[in-house]
This record gives sequence, C-alpha cells and structure tokens, in this order.
Amino acid sequence: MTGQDDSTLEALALAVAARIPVLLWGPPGTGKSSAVASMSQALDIPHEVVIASIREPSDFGGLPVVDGDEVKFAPPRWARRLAIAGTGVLFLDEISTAPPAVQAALLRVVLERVVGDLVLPDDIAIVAAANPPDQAADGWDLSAPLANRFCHLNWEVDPAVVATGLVAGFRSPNVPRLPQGWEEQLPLTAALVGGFLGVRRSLVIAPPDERALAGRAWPSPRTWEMVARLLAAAQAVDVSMEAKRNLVIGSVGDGAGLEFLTWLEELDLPDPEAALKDPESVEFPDRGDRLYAALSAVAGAVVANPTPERWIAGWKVLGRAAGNSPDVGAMAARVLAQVRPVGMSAPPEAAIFVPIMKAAGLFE
Amino acid sequence: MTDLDRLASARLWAAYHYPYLASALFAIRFVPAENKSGVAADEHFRMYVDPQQTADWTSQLLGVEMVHQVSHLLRSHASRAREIGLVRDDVLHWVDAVDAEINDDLIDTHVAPADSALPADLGLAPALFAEEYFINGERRFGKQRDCGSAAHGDPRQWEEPPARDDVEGVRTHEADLIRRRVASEVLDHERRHGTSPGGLLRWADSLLNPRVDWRKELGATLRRGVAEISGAVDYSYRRPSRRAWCSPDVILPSLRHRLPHVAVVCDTSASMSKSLLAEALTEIDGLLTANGVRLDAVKVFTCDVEAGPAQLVRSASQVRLVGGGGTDLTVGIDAAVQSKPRPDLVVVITDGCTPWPASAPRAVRTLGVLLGENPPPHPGWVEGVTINDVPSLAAKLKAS
Repeated sequence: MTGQDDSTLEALALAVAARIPVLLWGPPGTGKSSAVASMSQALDIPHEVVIASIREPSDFGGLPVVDGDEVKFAPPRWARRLAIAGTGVLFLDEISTAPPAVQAALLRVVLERVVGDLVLPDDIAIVAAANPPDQAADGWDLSAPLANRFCHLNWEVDPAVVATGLVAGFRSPNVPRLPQGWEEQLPLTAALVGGFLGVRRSLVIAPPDERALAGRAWPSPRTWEMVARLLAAAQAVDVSMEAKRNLVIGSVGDGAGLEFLTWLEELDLPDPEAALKDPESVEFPDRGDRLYAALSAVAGAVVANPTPERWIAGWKVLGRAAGNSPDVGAMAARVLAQVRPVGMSAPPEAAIFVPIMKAAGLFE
Repeated sequence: MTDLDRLASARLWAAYHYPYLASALFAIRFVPAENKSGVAADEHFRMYVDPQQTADWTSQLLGVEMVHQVSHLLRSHASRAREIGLVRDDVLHWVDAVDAEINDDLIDTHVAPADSALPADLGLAPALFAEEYFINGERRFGKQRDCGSAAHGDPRQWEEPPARDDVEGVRTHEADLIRRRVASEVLDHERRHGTSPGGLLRWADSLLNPRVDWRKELGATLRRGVAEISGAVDYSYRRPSRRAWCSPDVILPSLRHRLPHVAVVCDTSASMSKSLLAEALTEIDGLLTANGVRLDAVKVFTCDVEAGPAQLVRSASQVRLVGGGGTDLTVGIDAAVQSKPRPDLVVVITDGCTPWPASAPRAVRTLGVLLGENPPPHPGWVEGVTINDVPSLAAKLKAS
C-alpha cells in the first residue's frame, strides 16, 4: 500500500527509469517497501531486498577469500543473482539504521554498482529506504558522502489517499519507458545546469554546515550531474512540474533546488534586448507575475542605456503588453517615464496608462 | 468604470505602495463571486470579489484587501492551519489569529481591512506568530471575517476547484517560487530603502535562511558523538567470528561493541538561563536513552568556580543544581575526565562565558552545548551546538 500523492510516485518512477539511485525518507509502516516491490512486479524484473541494518561491511565490500597467493572479495548471493539477470531493482532497506562502517561500504555499491569483485550491470536500479533518525529506534544520521549519492524523496502519507486506498486499492508507481536515445538530450540539460552554476558559483558545492542536514540532499558536482540526467529523462517523457520539482530538490536540496527552478522559469521569459529590437514579435507570458518580470526586465534594459530609440521601443513593448493587464504595464511605465531622454515628448503609448494611474491615485 | 478596471487600478495602487509584493500581487487572478466578507482568496492565488458588496469601494480599500490576501498566501497560513490540525469550529478564530499576524505590517501605513482582527483585539502584544495569537489570544465573537481557504485551507462553497494549469491559477510548487521571489525582494527593498515592515522582514529572513531547530542539531551531533565512540570497536574472543569457517584451524576474534561512558558537565553560574538549561538536559537525556546509553552510566558534574561532586542520575529532573556566581569550566572538565571509569564523551552545557582548558582533554570527545543568543567563541576541539529561542537577525535589525 502507498498513501502517497501522485507527484512523489511519479518522481520515484522517473528516477528508477533513469537509473538514478533514489532514497525514500519516511516513517515506518508507510508502505515504502511494498511500493517498490509492486513496481518491480509491474516491470517484471528481479527484485532483491537487502536490509542494510543487519548486514556487516563485508556483505557489501565482498567476503575475503584466500585463493592461492591473492585474496578475492566474494560477492554475496543477491549480487550474483542480479548480475546474472542483467537487470532488476536492488532495494536497500533501512539504510539510516545501518552503522557508519556499513554505510561506508555502501558508497561503492550505490554509485559505482560494485559489490566485492563483482560489477553489477548498468541496468540495475537502486532504491533505498530510510527512517528519519529521530523516528527510528536506533537511528544513525546518514553520512554526508552517502547522502550525496542519492536523490532524496520525502515519503509523506496523505490521510485522504490512505482512506480511499483501503477501500479501492492503492496505486503503485507506473514506471515510464524512456524512448531510445533519450540520453541525447543530456548535453542540453547539462548546459542548462552549467549555465545556472556559472551565475551562482557558490552553489557548485555547498556541504551543509548543520549536522542535522548533512544526511539529506546537498549540492555538489555529482548531484548537479544527477539533476541534468533527471531533467533529460523528464523531457523525454511527459512528467508533471511537481514531480520535476521533487527530483531537483531531492538531488541538490531545498535552497539550491528552488533557486535553480526560479532561474529556469526566468529563462522562459522573453529576452529584453530582443524585445527592444523587435517590439512587434514578442510573445508575452500569460500569468501576471511572469508578465511583470518580463516587462520589468525590458524597462530595466532601457534604464541601463536610455537612448531615444530604445526608449521609444520600450514604450511600444509596453503598449502591446498592456491589453489585458494595464496595471502590470503601468508599473513598468512609471520606470520608463522617469528616464525620458532630453527633448523627447511622450509617445502615444504613454496615454494608455493615464486613466488607470489616475484611478489608482498615482497621477498628479 | 468596469469591475476589471477597478480591480486593475486597485492592484496598481497596491503594487505602488508595496513594491516588494508586486510579484505576488500580479500572480492573482480575479474571480467575481458572492462571498461573506466581500473579498476572499484561495490557495491558488485566486481572489473572489463580490461585485455587490464591493461596488463602492475605493482603489485604496480594494488595494489594502489585496495586500491582506496576498499576505495570507505568502505566509502559508493554509498549510500552517493543517499543521496544527485546525478543526472546523475554530476556523474563524484562526482567521482572527492570522489576521492579527499580518495586520501588524499594514496598520503602520494604512487602515487594516474592515472587521479584521488586530493584536490588541485578541488582548496580545504585536509581532507574535499566528499560532501564538490562536492559542493564547482571547476569542472574538460577533465581528468575524472569512478570508477563504487562503487563510485556513478549508475550501468554501464559492471557490473554484484546485488549479490544474497556469490559466486556472497558481499551483503549489509555483507558489513556493513566488514566495521565494517576494522574500528576496523584501530583503532587497530593506537594503535599499529600509522601509520593509518588521513582520514581513522576519518572514523573508526565515524563508531564505532557514534555521535548523536546535533540538535536531543537538540530536545529530550527540548521535554522531556516541556513534563514533561505539564505532571504535574492540576485538573479543567471547564469541567466534562469522568468518571462522574460512580458516578452521585459526580462531578469529569477533567484533565487540562497547557502550560509551558519558559525563555531563553543567555550568551552574548565575548567568545561566534555568529554563533553557532544563530543556537542554531533557533533550540530552532522551537522546542518550534512544542511543542505548544506560542512564546510570551518565555522571553529571555541576560546576561554577568549583566542581561539585559527581551525581549519578537516572533522569534530567534528578540533577540538583548547586552553585551560582562565577564560572570556571576547566575545573569541571578536569573532574569529569579524571573520574573512574573514564568517560568517552563529555557533554558540556554552558553559556560560554567561561575559561576553557588550554588544550583538548586526551582521548575524550568534547561536545559543547551553548545556551544563549550569541555565545562567545569556544575552542576548536569542542563541537558546539548553539541553543536559543530568540527571534532572528532581521527582527533585531528592525528593532535597532
């Protein structure tokens, strides 16, 4: 059973499809294990559950076996089964209750898929589950290096979903089939991430200062690469904005993730310089706050270099945008009016905003 | 003038007087609908305006309403109501509490919307959180407002179904982005003009620079302290190793897990806050129990200029605080380190106004629990956790 809202399930499914290691954080008894199990069942691939908290480091690093002059590190059965099958889901349960030494041994398994001397095939998906340390009986905080290898998803239970699910049955995540060649999108999304990091250099790597946050998502070159992969996968299939947001925040953390998403949203706005060059062909966003951001950018560009031609072009842009929302345009018009070049008289577009400014009591 | 023109000019008025709220104000979509108080909003940035009731409202009156509704949305009053488990009978009292929280910022410059509660109406001081007004405030009857689900998360009959796309309204994840944008504009406005209202400034600061609850931070640090000591394992021949079958002729040792001894050194000088101290002790107590440290293994030293005798305690409430006056933690830490059995982890609770030992005690981890707003610096070998319950930087900035 899963009492999840759709966006978490969708995010989980996409990360599994893109083969990015996922870590589900949630209290015990909320159906993390069964959701993952039913997902593997739906995909009809092998499902191996390994409970990390009752294992010891050699179960992940391989058991040392003396063989003549050398020592081999023999992989355990579950790893061999997955390697033979060539595909499958490795579900690491309760990794936050695993002692630190076991967590260290998991590092190579999670990222490089190496168990002892055995390399697991690339097609293995890794999903882990953990209870927040303050909810587990004997919880350890996840070490920062291990935490940084996962996309963290919060497994929150929605009472309404549980209530209907008990009667009508629970939904399991529906893993999308990524089309062939989805990875060709990767250079594009990597360029997006790179562009953002070029502007916000301090977010390239920012390990959390607080210990309580060290076991969660935080930005590092590795997690930014995860973001690029996840975005590429998200572009290949139809994914809701909420799921995309969960994936980005789950990879690099709240602060960096939200800043990146804001930046992405602003990229969609029309380029102010292009708008000033050709005011007739600008496409304006529908929603008022985005239109406001776009028009403020245009007005800002004129203020930065107020030549008469640019000033007139600025008014043309405002005149076109004013149709449905004169109030949004009026805010930018006030800015333009303050930088009137010497000797220029008010253009006809300025008159559009006079009535509304009078009505708002801003016109003397 | 058409209704849309009136609303547009009111919104322009609001954006002009509250420029830092512009991003949120322009995200609003207006829906004409009959409702209880004339103007109401929902969680998807849709504002329901009653054409009859608001027919003769001025731009300023409507504009103040918009600022008011946007403030509900920015401060996530609906999800905060869900967090405290608001029941339907209390919805209107909750609206009074959240109104009191946001009207603080309005009344300095403009008149608050009609019938909305002010802190004084609830018998409390200004600049508190809505939760405080709700729990501690007096209940208001008679004059009541219903600001819609933007304020309490309980959909009203006049509201439209949740937004599915950009045209219908703002969806949850986008509302977060709007909140962040407004928050950074509020801080930016404060830097350039210094006129952002105090409550809003505090909100923006806590949104952009979230502070980790000290209980969580203390828990994480203490767990790590205990974990690393119990991780320093020993070999024992009491039980055979799991790998003994590899070499039948050799008996391999197994790993032994040892419980750490913990000593707590408690600063009891006059400068310590008793309530914070009690709270810190309770937290430490609970955390140690959860990590399997037996309580009778915890020794508590109280310490001012002279270390008190070690007390073996079973719970925090048993600690007798003796002392007062000046502090010298060196004495207390020395006494703790020299006690038998030797502790592995020393937890020092202090306000930091004290000399520390010149060098780290040998083979002992030291964890400093520092009470107070801005404790003086501690030496590098102490892992510090600061514990305070004081309003953040922005509030101080405003007060000065």
